[in-house]
Amino acid sequence: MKLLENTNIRHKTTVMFLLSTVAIVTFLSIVFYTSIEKIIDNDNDETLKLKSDIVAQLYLDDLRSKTNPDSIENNILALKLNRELVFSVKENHLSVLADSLKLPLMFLEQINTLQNGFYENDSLQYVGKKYNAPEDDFIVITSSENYFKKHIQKHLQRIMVISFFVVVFITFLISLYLSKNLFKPIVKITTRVKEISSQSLHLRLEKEKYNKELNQLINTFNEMLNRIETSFESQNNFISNASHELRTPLTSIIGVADVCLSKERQSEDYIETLTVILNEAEKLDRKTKALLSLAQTGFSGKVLKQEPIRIDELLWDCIATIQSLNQQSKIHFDISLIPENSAKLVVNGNKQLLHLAFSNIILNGCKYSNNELVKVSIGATNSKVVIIVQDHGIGIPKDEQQYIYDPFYRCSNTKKYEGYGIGLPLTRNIIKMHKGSILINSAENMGTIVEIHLPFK
Amino acid sequence: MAQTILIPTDFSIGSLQVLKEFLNKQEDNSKVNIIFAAGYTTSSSISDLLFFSKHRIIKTLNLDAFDDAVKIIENKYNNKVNLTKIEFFTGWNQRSFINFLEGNDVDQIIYSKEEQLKSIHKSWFDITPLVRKIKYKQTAVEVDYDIEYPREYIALSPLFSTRG
Repeated sequence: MKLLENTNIRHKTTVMFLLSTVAIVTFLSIVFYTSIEKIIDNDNDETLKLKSDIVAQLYLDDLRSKTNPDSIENNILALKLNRELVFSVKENHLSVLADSLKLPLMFLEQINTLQNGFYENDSLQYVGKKYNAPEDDFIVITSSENYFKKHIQKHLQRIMVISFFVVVFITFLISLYLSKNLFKPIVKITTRVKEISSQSLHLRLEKEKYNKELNQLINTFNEMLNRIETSFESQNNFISNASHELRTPLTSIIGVADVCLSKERQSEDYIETLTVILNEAEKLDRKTKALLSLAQTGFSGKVLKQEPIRIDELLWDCIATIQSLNQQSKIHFDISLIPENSAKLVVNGNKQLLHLAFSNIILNGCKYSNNELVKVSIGATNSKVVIIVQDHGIGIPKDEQQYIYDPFYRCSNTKKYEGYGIGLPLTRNIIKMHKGSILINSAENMGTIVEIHLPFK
Repeated sequence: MAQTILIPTDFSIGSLQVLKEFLNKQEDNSKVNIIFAAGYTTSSSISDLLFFSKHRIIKTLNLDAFDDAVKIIENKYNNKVNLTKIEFFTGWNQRSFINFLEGNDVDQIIYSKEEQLKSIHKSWFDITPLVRKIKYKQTAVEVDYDIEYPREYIALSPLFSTRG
């Protein structure tokens, strides 16, 4: 068993291929050999029977022309030389005849009773036939040498043994070659996958030529790597996000408390300080909760908590939240292409996360356009909901658009706006979790269009 | 009986604005069949003629985003749109174009007043000049864009970028 465990798939294929070929070749040889033997035997038999008929006819002619037929002894001699024998049937003669001819008695009796008989020994085959003529009942026995045994058998056996070994040898070579080439790409994949470590997750496997099955495997690998990469990124995001977001309120709490404690104060001062601290602590609490839910749903490997959500309601919700946070923001919810059938707006997803994602995008629109009008549109195809957020803000410079999903990346024209560069990567991760896609189209100083596609599932 | 309208298209998302405008303005609730028509030059070789397949052309044009946009409009105007389909006009002259219209039972042609359709494929050609020349019931629709963006074949945003 240990031996079997260690053999690799290459050797297994070689052995399997070899065994199956050997089995097929053996089977074919046996069938071929036996059928050849049978055919030659039958042919021989037929010839002998024909010969018996001719001899019988000659004998009858002889009998009719002569009154005294030849004696039995002469006929026996004839068998030995010319291999045919004719004698008339007399019951008591059979055993004597058998002795003198060195033929078994059984054979002669068989001819006598069944009209036909067949016997063979090492070198000769005998066919006997009984004829009932009006003049006399007689038996004709003809014989010939065992043609198959004498001429063909050995030859055939030799050819078969040689060809058998040749075939096995060739199959062995082919199977070696096949197994080597068949598993070459797999070995290649293995080495390539080994190269991909957590530091080089961006690497992908290359496609093989003319190998559909393997390409499927490679695709699956690459998709898996995509997912792993995303989750790695998200993990990094999460840590940086958490530390950044948590630091701000903590700094202000520490600062305020520090100032307050520097000397003795009036009770109103304490109340004021404590209110500030409470506010900041509440902010901290909210952020921790948000991050915690993100961590729980996204990164711990647990299944995303999902429920059917009506996207238009969610967007109204987001807009209301944003407007309560920032009264100056102007958001127009464009429902000119909202589907008539509201069932086409229901997406399975996590409400908190999607809320976070949409709020992020809309807030970005408000922030980077100095509270100019932001248009939120919604539409639905038969497989997905499309959400489009348009603003007339500062836009994203063309050559920086490829970096916008990098955590902490901030574009060169955003210096005067507050932010950490976390919102967009976070949003993209959330959309990716929902198997959606996000597309950003932007021109500097013209505005930005964010397009989110969310499949129904 | 559903009315059949024909819209010359270059399969850009923005060109669908015409349909959106038209359906917006249409007040009665009668259903319409919509045919998106594009000119398509076929070579004169017999094998190309023999193996002409609308589906293959649609496939090579890669119209996923266009399909999505059409579906969005269909979903919005569910009770107005009966069916939508794409047809290719492969003729040259006015006469064959009229034949094409009659063959498809077109009642009305809708096209954009000012917008120029642009080539997406070497075999594509604009049929609006033909539409303008022939005497057939036709309406030019004005589209009022919010933001002017480059012609888009992947993103769906041009569909939503009109005022109002």
